[in-house]
Amino acid sequence: MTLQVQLVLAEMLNEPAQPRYGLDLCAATGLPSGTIYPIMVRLEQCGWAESDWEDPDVHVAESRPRRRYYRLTREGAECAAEALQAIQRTRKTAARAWRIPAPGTSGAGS
Amino acid sequence: MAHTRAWHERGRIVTRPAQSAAAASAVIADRYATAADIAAREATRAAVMAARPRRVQNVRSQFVRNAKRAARTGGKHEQTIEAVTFYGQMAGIASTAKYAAACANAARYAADAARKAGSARAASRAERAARVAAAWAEMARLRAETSHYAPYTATQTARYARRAAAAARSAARTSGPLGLCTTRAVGLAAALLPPADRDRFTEEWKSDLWQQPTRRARARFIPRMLGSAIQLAVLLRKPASRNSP
Repeated sequence: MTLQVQLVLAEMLNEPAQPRYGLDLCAATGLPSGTIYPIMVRLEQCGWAESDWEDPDVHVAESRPRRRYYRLTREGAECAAEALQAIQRTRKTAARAWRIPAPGTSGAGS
Repeated sequence: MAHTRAWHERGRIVTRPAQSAAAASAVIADRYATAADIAAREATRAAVMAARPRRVQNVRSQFVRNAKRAARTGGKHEQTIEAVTFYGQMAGIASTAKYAAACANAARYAADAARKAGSARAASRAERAARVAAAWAEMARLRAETSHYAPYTATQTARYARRAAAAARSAARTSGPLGLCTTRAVGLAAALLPPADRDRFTEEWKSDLWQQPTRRARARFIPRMLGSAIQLAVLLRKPASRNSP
């Protein structure tokens, strides 16, 4: 799992039930717009996310093109949370092995 | 006097608020194009029912003989049959006429909306296609009303309905608040994708571009969109066999 996918998943896991559209995710994760859609397609292909068009009444009322909203599936949210935790654990283990101080703490010698 | 707008907006055209009416028309054009698509699909289905090969055996021998003679000599012939006997075919012709007329109407509305959204050429094309589809639909309706078995008319009517729907879709695609270059860039990016996914991403990208506040922001967005389209083109053609992203 790439760092970009982790960022997107972490952002979507903040509010799993909240549907998000492409540019919204770009702004929230700080990723460029060209990166988001391939990630979302991959998430959809493995069944972690689903997407749907916006309700026509909303976008017609706001006079703008309709958006496609993405949200994590229940299974996807569970898998994503597990995967992110596993990555976090690996990162901590690696940091301990390499004696890298955790962010916000002073170095080992002090 | 202090400037109230951000430095990057000063002196530049911020197109979004001024063109929201065009965006709304483009949305309406898209809705009508979708309706035209659905009607054309139904017209095609009905035309298939009208000319279903396994029902041809029901046709009386004299009509078959006349048809064969006409095919041999190049003459004209017309089959007049009773609606009761050939209910399936006649209903098929009547349905083709009905759906083709609906498709032509939807295409005409899509063309109107596309014209309001600033896409005059594509709108004219859609209007012409809608007129042709409406004429064929009228002919098919008359044939069905007078119980003329006319599978060719039904097939052609469905064909022109499909053309009208395609023209409406094209008008909807090219309309909107975006400029010519931006629209073409979106079209180019969409052309890289598999046909089934083109409409979806065209709309998503258009929506994203519409949200960019300035022309400069749009210009920055386009190379990223093209890069993303290349990745998507590969990704969407791969079989989905992965268990994790």
